Amino acid sequence: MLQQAETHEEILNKLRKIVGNEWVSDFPEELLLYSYDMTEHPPSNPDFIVMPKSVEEIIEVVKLANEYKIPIVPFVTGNNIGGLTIPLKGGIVLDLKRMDRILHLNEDDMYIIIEPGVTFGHLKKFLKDTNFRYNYPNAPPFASVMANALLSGLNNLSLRYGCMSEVINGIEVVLPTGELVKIGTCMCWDKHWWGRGPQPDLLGLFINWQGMTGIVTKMALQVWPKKPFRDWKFILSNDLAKTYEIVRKLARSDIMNDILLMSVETIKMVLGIPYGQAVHLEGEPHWATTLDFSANTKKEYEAKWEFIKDTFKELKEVDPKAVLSSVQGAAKMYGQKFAEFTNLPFTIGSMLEYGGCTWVGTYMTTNIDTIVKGVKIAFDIIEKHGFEKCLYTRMMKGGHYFAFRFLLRFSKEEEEEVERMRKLNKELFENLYELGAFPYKTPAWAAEEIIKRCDPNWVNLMHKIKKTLDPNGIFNPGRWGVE
Amino acid sequence: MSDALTKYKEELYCCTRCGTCKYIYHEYSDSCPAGKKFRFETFYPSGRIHIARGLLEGKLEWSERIRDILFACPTCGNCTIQCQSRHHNLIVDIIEALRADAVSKGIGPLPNQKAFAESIANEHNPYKELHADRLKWMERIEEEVPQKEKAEIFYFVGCTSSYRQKDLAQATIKILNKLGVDYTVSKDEWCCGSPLMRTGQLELVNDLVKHNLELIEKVGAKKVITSCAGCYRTLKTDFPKYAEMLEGVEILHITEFLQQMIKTGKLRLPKKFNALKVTYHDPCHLGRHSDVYDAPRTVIQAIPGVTLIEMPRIRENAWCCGAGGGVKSGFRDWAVEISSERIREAEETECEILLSACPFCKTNLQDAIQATNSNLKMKDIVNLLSELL
Amino acid sequence: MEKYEGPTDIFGIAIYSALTRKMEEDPEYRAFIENLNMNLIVELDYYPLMIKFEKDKFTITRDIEDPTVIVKINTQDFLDIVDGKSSIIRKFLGRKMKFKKGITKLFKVYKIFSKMM
Repeated sequence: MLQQAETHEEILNKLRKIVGNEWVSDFPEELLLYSYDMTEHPPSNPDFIVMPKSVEEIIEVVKLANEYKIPIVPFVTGNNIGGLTIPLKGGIVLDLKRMDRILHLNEDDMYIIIEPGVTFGHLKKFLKDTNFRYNYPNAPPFASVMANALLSGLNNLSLRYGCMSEVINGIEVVLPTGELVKIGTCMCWDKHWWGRGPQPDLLGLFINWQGMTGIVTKMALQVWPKKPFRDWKFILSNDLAKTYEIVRKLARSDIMNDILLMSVETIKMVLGIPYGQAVHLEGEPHWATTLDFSANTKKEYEAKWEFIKDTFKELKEVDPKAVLSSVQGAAKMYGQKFAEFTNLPFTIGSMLEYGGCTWVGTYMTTNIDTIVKGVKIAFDIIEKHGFEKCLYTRMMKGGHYFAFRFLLRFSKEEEEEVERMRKLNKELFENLYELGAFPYKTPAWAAEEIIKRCDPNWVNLMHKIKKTLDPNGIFNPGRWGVE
Repeated sequence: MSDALTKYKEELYCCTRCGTCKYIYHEYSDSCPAGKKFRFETFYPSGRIHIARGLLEGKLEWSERIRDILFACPTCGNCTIQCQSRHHNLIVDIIEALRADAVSKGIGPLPNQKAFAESIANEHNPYKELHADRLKWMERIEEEVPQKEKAEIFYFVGCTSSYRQKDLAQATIKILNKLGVDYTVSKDEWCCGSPLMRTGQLELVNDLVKHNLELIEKVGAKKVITSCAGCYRTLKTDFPKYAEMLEGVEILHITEFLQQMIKTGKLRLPKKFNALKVTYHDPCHLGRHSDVYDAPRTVIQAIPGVTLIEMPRIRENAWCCGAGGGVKSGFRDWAVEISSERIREAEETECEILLSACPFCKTNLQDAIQATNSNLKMKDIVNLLSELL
Repeated sequence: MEKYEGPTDIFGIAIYSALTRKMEEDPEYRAFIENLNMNLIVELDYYPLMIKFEKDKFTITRDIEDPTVIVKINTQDFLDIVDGKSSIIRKFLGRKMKFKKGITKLFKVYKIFSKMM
């Protein structure tokens, strides 16, 4: 516990006054559940869980936290796979799931304004009867849309638009000192959230800071028109270099929504093959690629499909056993679990049913040799530590960068296995970092390693900014090497 | 280490708290009544599993708060449908096993729930009524109610219809008489044990199961019909966990039996309603727990003049009425909060009548109709059908 | 708790999933499959698979033994049928699907795959 018993009671009572008795807890069971997530990151207990309903309540909680100099960690579902909502220094976990309104859909400028508790599932339901679409992760439907954007998550239009922080138009944020600030065009007009605008872009003070500099209470995110034609194709192949080459060519063609290049082990995991058995077997294809594209007209669709087929022929020349099919066709055989690739967001049950799930998820260069080398090195490391080689990659932003990550399931029943996973992730990080891969949703341990290796002036600047914004150091302390 | 935690140890380590259990999968409406109400992670199905893990690992100790979290679940089983992991169909079993642990440690059940255990021990029903009055529901009705030594069909009336919702038993009798089937009821029927099983009070359960099976065997029935979804689930799903079931005896909910009668043309309804619009609430014990979704709909659609208009959340995804799992006895106001949400959903269909096939659902939905000043009328399918006879 | 008991190779999973699902959906197909008694080898260009049909059950394995029927087909041709771009008959007539053994079981093989897809 951070505080003496008397102070603890004092804070508890004040929190209750702010949000109401039923929305504060310091019961052991809640403290335990908010102390860890599905990853291998070590647990750390909070002192209080607080569930505000309004911006005003958040501001009051922040003022109280400053008064007592206790940490605050924002939380919605805790599914970030970086251990980012584990309260490293205790304090208040601010569970924002009660703030779950979709406040506005602007059809002219194509954006939505949401609160932090809005999940992908709820957004998809909201947009169902509109002409607009957002984009979704291959992840459980009930992750926070806002957290995904603030942490640069990758979704199924990331090939077009980049990671999700790139589609934020503006935010409303409570600073660590309790002021409420608007960033983007909304700083001038309440009703205009159409962009970050030509003013100095202060959004970077909050993106990827993991709640160290502010608690975002509203966010405008771009949405896009739905297209009448949409299709998904599926490639199985053996030659990684050539497969990757055509993936990059398709990405650069500017006609695709999304391209996922995965190891066959990943597909097996998606299909429900039990933990430990999703391994490559002799004679099997090594790689599975899904291609998602859409069009405004039948003619446009057919032209795109022709280009995909022609590009596939280049792969076939080098890798004669490579096959091209439709995802829907493959789903006729594999069933609903495979069909889910056309209906994101979805829960990969078999990835999440062994108690633990983690990754080293990185963004990196698209250089072919580097990718091929990265796969080889990473597979050797994973094999050495005895886990499954479930690689899941995505071409980003028209082929400007590459998302390179693993989906690693493990059991949390035995500490030995958890520890082995920690070692694996550390080794993966160290080797991939050398190749220019940067972990997104950066766990605290990886951030510390990066700080040791990166430009010291960047570190100094980050510290200065943090000190200026959060003089008492109460917002998610322990992240990025900042106590 | 307790029995429940040992038995389900493997399942407890399956859950990553991915959150999929919290909402209807790919439809995204709320699925978990307790989670929606209390919102802390602990109150969701995954939270309860992780509480169990905490208890197992010694990181948590039993407390009244943990008891309340466990007993606040109406065990509706919606999470067992939405969860995509391999332990999904055991989530309710785990919660019920934890409740049994709470009881064995003297922490559970909730005070009101203790009372019905005492009542069942003394009078074989949870309502503190005299066992001798079990068949009083048949007084002052015109229908003849057979009490035979031997019969083809045993109508297992259940405590709620015997003591609290007598009109359901009476309507069932009216239909069975009209069908002219060979059936009987018995004054020796005891509580099926459902209230005890749902609240972890297992001490008397073996006796109840044994007694009721012996009774059915004595009658020589080939079919046991219940008009209570709770009794149905207990007889069909829970009894085999406690005793060897009687060979060749079929357990049927009254809607399943009526479906058979409709299909074979044995049930003819001479009158008709005048353009009556109804909607149907799937009882958890009949639907998710027993996989009976079509039979009640077949019966409703066979009633002349009736049009069935479905609510958005139906069948596997139906929102619970809030009465189950001991919530009605343990958290009365909250039980009605849950059913009030269902009433709002039913009102959106613009139907006159909300139907169900369970006396618990009927009671709690009726309470919500009053609490929300709704114009809906609440009826059991059997009652509606009997109006035409 | 649910347990997966099928094959773990990428094409075996496909056939196992499709067969299992179709048998659950269609009692007539289930009865047909459960009454088969043969070792059907599907020679894909990636690797051969054996579907062993026995009384009341089938198993899929990569260990080939005592083949009753051997059907040779490229994976792409197989997927074209699944995709609906071609049919078993067209592939057979176009010699893209060949019976290396057990041609007499042609109609049974046709029924297994045409219903499954």
